[in-house]
Amino acid sequence: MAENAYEIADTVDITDLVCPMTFVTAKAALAELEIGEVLRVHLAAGEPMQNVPRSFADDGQKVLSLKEAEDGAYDLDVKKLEDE
Amino acid sequence: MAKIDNAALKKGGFMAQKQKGFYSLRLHITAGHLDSRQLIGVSKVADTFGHGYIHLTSRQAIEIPFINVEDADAVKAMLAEYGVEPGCCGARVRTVTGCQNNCLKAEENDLGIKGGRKVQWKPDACIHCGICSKVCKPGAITDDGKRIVVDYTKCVSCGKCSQKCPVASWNYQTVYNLTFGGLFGNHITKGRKLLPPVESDEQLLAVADATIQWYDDHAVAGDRFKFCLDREGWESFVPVVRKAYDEAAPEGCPKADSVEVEPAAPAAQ
Repeated sequence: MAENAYEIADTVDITDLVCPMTFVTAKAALAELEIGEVLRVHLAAGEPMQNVPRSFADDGQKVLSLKEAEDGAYDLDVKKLEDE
Repeated sequence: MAKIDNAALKKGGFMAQKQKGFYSLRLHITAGHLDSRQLIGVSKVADTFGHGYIHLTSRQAIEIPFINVEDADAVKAMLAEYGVEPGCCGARVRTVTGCQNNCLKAEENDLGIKGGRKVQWKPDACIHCGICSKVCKPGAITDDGKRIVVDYTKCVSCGKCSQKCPVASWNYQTVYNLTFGGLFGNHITKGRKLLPPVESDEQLLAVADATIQWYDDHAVAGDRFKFCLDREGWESFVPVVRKAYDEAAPEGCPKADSVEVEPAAPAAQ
């Protein structure tokens, strides 16, 4: 698989959290970044995988990719487009 | 005292209780919504004329029990002050409500109407994240990493794919999924799908009118739609409702006979 065309500025693992702390934690991590930087969110399959990406999109951020990771969870890459 | 006409009272939403002289009054409530002023009116009537409580019905309505038949006019007047009307009961056309998640069990109604989304994948924005194929419960979506293919024979128009997509890579149109001849109660029966999704409000009304007209032409007193269909023959009804569907079809809508008539589900035990 080709390397990402962007750098990951920070990574946050929310696999051991439950809704709504999943998105709250991921959102707080993105808030620390500058506009244009990319956050990688490691999240569990199921409910977090279905809802966290869409919640970022609803907040006006750009979802770049979502890929299955080696541990069976997912890596979501989000680019910060807006400050809250 | 004049003889009480229970049938007439029932028609107007007053249902006789086993306690002599008392009626439970069913209210006319659209789609399960009451505003706060209407709620105050309901509360006042329950306090003034009833026993100070209400009952929530399975169709998202309200009944006020223990109304004395002699207070019927005063009750109606008080309700009217708050913008509430009595409902109806018995053999009448009643509205049902249902979203695509179907908590209200659309298929168990004589004419079941369930909202939905007719979805279409648009390639431009797609990042092939896999969410749509994973949230699709009937497994109608396959994603090979380049193209997403929807098997519309499996799609139930729930719209989850478009709802969960993080990059807005789906177009959708609001549709209605209809089922016919459902029943709840002791002869519980799942209504049958006879048409593709209905694509406009006008088309929905045309199909509903044709259904009610056919029932009106064929039913005996107190007939439930399912029993009427079983007796008169579904083959007499299907062409009628399909004609109404096709005649009111918006542009691009599939032909009514592009879906099979769903076979009857096995009878409940």
